[in-house]
Amino acid sequence: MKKFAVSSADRTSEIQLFSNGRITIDGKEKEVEWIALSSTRRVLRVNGRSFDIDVLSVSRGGNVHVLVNGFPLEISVKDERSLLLHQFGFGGSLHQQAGEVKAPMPGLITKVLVKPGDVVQTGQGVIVLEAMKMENELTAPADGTVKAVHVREREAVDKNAILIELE
Amino acid sequence: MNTNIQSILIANRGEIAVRVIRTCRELGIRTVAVYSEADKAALFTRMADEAYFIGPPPSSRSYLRRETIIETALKTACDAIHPGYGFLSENPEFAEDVQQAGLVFIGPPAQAIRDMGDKTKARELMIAHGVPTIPGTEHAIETLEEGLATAEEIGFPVLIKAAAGGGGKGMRVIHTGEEFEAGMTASRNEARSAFGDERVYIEKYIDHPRHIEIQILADTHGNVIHLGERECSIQRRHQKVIEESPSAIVDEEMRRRMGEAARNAARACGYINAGTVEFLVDRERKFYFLEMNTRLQVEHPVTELVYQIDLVREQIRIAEGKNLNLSQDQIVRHGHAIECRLSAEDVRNSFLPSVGRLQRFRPPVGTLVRLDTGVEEGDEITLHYDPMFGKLIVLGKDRKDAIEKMRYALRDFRIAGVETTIPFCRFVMEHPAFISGEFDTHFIEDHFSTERLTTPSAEEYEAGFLASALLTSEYQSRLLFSGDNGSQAGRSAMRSGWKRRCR
Repeated sequence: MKKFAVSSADRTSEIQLFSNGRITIDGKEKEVEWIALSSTRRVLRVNGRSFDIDVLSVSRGGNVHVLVNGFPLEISVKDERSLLLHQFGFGGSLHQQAGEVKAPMPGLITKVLVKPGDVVQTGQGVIVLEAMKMENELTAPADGTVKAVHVREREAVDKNAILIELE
Repeated sequence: MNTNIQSILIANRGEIAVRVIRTCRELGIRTVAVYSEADKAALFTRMADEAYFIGPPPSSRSYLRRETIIETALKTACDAIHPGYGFLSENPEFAEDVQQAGLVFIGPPAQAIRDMGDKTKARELMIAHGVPTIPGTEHAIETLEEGLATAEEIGFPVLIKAAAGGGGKGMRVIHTGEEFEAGMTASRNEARSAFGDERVYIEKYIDHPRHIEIQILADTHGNVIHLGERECSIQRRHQKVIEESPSAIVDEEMRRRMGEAARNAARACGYINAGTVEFLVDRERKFYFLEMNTRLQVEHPVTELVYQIDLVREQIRIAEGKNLNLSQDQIVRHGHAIECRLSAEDVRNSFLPSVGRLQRFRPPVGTLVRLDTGVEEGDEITLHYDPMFGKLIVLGKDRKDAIEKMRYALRDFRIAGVETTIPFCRFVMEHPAFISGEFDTHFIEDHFSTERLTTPSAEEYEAGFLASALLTSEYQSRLLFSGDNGSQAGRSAMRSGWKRRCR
């Protein structure tokens, strides 16, 4: 028997896979059919209802990225061993850094609207990034003071480049 | 002057290049594609009979290189060039160069492009030919001072637009005198970077208008017909997102009056070929000339479906000097068509462009569901070109039926690798204001918030959870991805106990 703790966004469930093929989710048994159309396309039939599963990635760390009927879901899957590791603090966690403004896509900085020391409020425009011929104003994710500005006007930036740090 | 077009060079890329090639195939016309480095394996290059490299990814060094494109057409013995939309389609010098090279430009005469591209000239022509226009400036504004004075004279709110532009670039609504300087400066910057011309013009801003346009066709023999309207009010930043035909608010009488105005607009500039006359419609259903698009429009398929006509085919016939097949009183409309533009944009993140490889791309199928696209699974959507990668179009027996069809078609689309506007389109198809037909160009500001996007159901979450546990279990057994797709190793890996049990 394998036991998994699965979670996505604010939902969590416990799933048990028994060697005889039985499956339970949160203790309730499900009639499940698991059909592979290819290594990346599956059909999951639960109590007669079909769900299209597109497997986008399955990682060593227990992160599964699928489309369920076209909806993207990123699901964290922990088995007993990784749950144990997590309890001892080896699991690591991914915190969204609220204090930075990152480039959501590659582009060209056309305007820097703040300088170090400026006080900014949530939602205030701090930088203008031109991409795909449109000017996109990026805003402060939180209230704070500008700690550093890492780019200059007319500078090309890559996706996820840290543009501004707040504190 | 009847010519017979046998070979067409398509001076465009993506879905519109594919669209033009399809019609050419049906007509037995040979097609020549030109492509940039970024598009070397794109669908349109493979569908064309021949394809030639013309330069690096930036359009200024490839799709906008007039001489290279014309030389390629001559070298490959083409008779004509189809410009699609965007790029060189509304460039009068290009239209002239094409003709001077002895080729047919599948589009209007250069002078009509020039006149309609110059907003001031267009406005004068419309006024002279009795087409209703919006109160505003008579000429392009050069300085900030002049702009402010004009805005105050017309009265706020005003709209600033690029004199050279289209497609919403450089457009700003200014509500008060204090906002004016910042707004006009931003408009001029955008206009300069998009068109190399920073002049703007200013007009009265019509609050909460609808955007409704009329498709026209004009031949070289003086015949001009209109093919009804397209409702294009679902827009974001003045860019259309969803279009339909007919409009929920246009009745026969209004259609006749708008159609007549559009035909007059076409006659006013000596228009030939397919064109679109755009109008703003206020709450009293009064309509005002906005601009004329002197090319095939992105949203042309909705008209094609309801009028059962192939507009590209008509464009080619007109360019050959043939008479229009139809007269105005022979035109019949059937049903209701809706188009959703599919763009690689992140709806949950201010519609920012989203680039990447299409890890999945499985379009829906169904009766009267049409997909115009230039991409396939595995293709990359880059920053070099417009984020729109396709258009989903449905034809229903009436508006309600078309909305239902579109809802299911959107629901069945499977895309991964980039974020798309599909969730937004689903939101619109389910919104009471859209369903009732009572909406305007402010639909998004008035109704949209990311919290209202459709999310997976509890059952779908549960299915995702079950699937992820099963996948993790397989992964741990080192069976997943052990062979190629569909290979023997892959197949056996899929035969898990949970499948066997249910057999």
